[in-house]
Amino acid sequence: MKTLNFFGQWVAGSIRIVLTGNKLYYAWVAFLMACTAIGLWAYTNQLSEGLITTSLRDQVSWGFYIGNFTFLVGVAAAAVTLVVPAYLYNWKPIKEIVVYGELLAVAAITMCALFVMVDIGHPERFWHLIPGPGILNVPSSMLAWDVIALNGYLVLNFVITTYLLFRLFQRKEPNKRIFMPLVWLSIPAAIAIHTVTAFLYAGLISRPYWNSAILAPRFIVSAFCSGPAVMLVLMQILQRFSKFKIRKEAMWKISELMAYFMGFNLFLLGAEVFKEYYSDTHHVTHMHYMFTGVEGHDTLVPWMWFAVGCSFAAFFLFLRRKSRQNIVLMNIGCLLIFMGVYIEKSMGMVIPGMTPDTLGEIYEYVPSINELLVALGIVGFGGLMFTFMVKIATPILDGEFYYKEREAKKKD
Amino acid sequence: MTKSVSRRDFLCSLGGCAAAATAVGCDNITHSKFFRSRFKELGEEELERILKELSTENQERFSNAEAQVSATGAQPGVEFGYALDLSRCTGCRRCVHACVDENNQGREEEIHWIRVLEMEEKHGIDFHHADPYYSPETVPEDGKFYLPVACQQCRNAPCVKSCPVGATWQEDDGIVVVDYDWCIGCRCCMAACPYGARRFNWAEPEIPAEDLNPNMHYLGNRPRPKGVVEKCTFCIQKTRKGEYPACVEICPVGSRKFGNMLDPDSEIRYVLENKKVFVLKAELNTRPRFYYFYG
Amino acid sequence: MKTSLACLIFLAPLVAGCGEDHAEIDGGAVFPKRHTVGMPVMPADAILADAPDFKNPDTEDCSDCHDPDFMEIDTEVRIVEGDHEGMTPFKHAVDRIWCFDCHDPEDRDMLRLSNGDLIDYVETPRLCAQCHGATHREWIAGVHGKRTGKWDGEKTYMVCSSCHDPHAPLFDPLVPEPAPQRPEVTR
Repeated sequence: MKTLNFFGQWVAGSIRIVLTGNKLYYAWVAFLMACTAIGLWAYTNQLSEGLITTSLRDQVSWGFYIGNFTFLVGVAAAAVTLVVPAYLYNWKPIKEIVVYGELLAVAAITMCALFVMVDIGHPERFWHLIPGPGILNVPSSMLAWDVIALNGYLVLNFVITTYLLFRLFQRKEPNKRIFMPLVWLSIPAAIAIHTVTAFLYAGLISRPYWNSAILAPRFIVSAFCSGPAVMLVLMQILQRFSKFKIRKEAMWKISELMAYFMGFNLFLLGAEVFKEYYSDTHHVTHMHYMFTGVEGHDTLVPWMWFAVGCSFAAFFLFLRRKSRQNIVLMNIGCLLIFMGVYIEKSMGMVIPGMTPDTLGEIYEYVPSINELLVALGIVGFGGLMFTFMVKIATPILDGEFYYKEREAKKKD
Repeated sequence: MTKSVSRRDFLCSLGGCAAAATAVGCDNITHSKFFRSRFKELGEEELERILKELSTENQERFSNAEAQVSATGAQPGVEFGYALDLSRCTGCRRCVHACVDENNQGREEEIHWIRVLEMEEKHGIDFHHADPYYSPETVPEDGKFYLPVACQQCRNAPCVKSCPVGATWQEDDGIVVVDYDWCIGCRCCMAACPYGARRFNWAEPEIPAEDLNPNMHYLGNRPRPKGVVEKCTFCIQKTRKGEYPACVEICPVGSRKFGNMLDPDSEIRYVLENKKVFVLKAELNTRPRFYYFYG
Repeated sequence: MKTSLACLIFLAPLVAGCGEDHAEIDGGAVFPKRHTVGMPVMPADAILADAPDFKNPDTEDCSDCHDPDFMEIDTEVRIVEGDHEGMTPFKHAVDRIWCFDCHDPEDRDMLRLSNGDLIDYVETPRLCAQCHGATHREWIAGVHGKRTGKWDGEKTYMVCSSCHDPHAPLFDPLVPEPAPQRPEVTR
């Protein structure tokens, strides 16, 4: 009964918090809502016309949606980069960031699920995936495994953050017996979602560009670059608009880790490039399509070189202590990493894998306007979700939003 | 629609099709489709009822009283095999279009189950020097040869393996089929297929009423909705009744051979035993039932 | 386990030598049998397809003109020049065969085998087989040529002249049917 009381006040308080804010907050929320609305409108177009409203065709049957899905799985998984040092080594400066990291993971996974939903031809048949009424084709289908992993990860992160925040709301420390095993579990779970997502591609014998043993390591390492980059920028924004304070040493530590991961990421890319170019089998054509273009088809080429350039620049920026500890340079580095990894891992991963197609045909895929708008809607929705969650979490972490005995009594 | 809310209606709104229904229109057929079980799990009576329902639906939609959807099963002791004589194929694409007519593919959207690749003799079979869009005045052209590719009906089919909901599987006679009412349209199978054999209905497929082939099979050529994957089924509606597939019958140079591989007297067995046959992308271990040879 | 079994089956003929039925229909690679013994047999219920008329459609039978009573039989080996009721120019192994290698000089409505037997026009395979033995065998086996009907029952066999004009047996080039749409078009 008492818990119910706590919960009631928590929910009511949360709604109040979400609804109140300054003009900038309202403008931001309105902007995100507009994005979501545009996306919804674009999606109704797609629902009535079919996926013909995208630029996807039989030759390139996965594209922008699935690319974004892949990238966002990485962002979600990256919460673990922050959890590992925070909990395993009880390294205090990062601990405060973990909550936000896991909230980001929740928002990112939600966006992932939405990107998959908009990509499938019959979203209303999603129940075919639910064992019981439907069937989940495990162990053979990698997408089936991905459904399990992603949903599990979503629930796990949701439970961890909700539990932690709810306890703090009651001005109690979380019960370590419940809390720690969940946190421990979230670490392999984060690795698992990205590994399974990589296996979704790596398991396809038809696509030599994806059918590589180092795809999963590449996914994880690149996620450990892009995830923290997103987090670092978000932390600073949060610091600006709330009482939340992030210690500089925490940021330096994170950027140092990012330098190592980016170095490893580039090494793995180099290993892949060497293998393809030196072997010079037919499989190298996908690399050619990425880096030089094939028979005049070179839409992706400037993007890929830009991405590689960004990644290298960020690597050197973060490698030097002086530059990674300079707040401006650090933010530039984060932006570079974000762009580099985003291009390399979404379009730069999906498109060359399918171009040329399995019968050697080259169809130059460029997302359609409607496709971009649907994606905008999803990102808008994810942003909205994340904004609200952060808006609620911040005063709890600051100790400003907590259970008030009197308020509850007044109601009685 | 009747005013009383049926259990199915209720379940439907619970199931979340209400939103989709506003976009695509929700009638009884939509309901029936929404809750239809996977083909493999349908009971005999239920299947019977659905087949009748589908036949009526197509009779009305195409104003064709002959439209019949069957679900003839695999014959025991039959495993289909196909062989194509590359030395004869002239690349005339008669097979491509006969297939479209036989299998009720979308016309406007041009879904082709067979893709004929023009290749250069000097490069041999090399997909990176292939052109499916060739269109000279006459074929064959000097220095070129032609490689038609459709579903290879693999024994170790990567598409079947990849489907998250088990909407595609291999039948006892070796035909890999798709359940159009179970497919969620995720296109994993298309990404998994090394032969580009699977086609997606990006838009609602349009078939002019007079062009409908009324002899239809549940797992084959019945009209498909948008948003599902389809592919060659060896003309399941014909071959399960003992007939040759449409592409075999149309080929003007007789380059296409089809039959029961388990029958030692069949022409397909003769080809397998006496010709040096090969399969596409053998290194992938998909073990196709579709063979190529130079006769 | 499956793989190793398949390997065994593949390797068996190499190790054990020839003589057995080597057909392996469960894998990518298929070993041809080293020696195919005997001739494939045509089933008794085989239906032979009609052959199109290769001559001018207005002309009735060959004997309408080539009536021995009106036209002298010229047995001088030569190539017929000029228009010959749609059957010219003659393009069938021109330097090796001529009219009376296939047609009977006395009865133009019959074909003549090399042993002197006269056969009807619908029995072309017997005649063609005299030179094209290997092709004929493959035709009977169903590899050369085309069959329609049922793979497990009654079939119609296209005969040689169903597809090949005996006077110019090479196929004419065909106009290809339309190419598929490029994906860019529907964007």
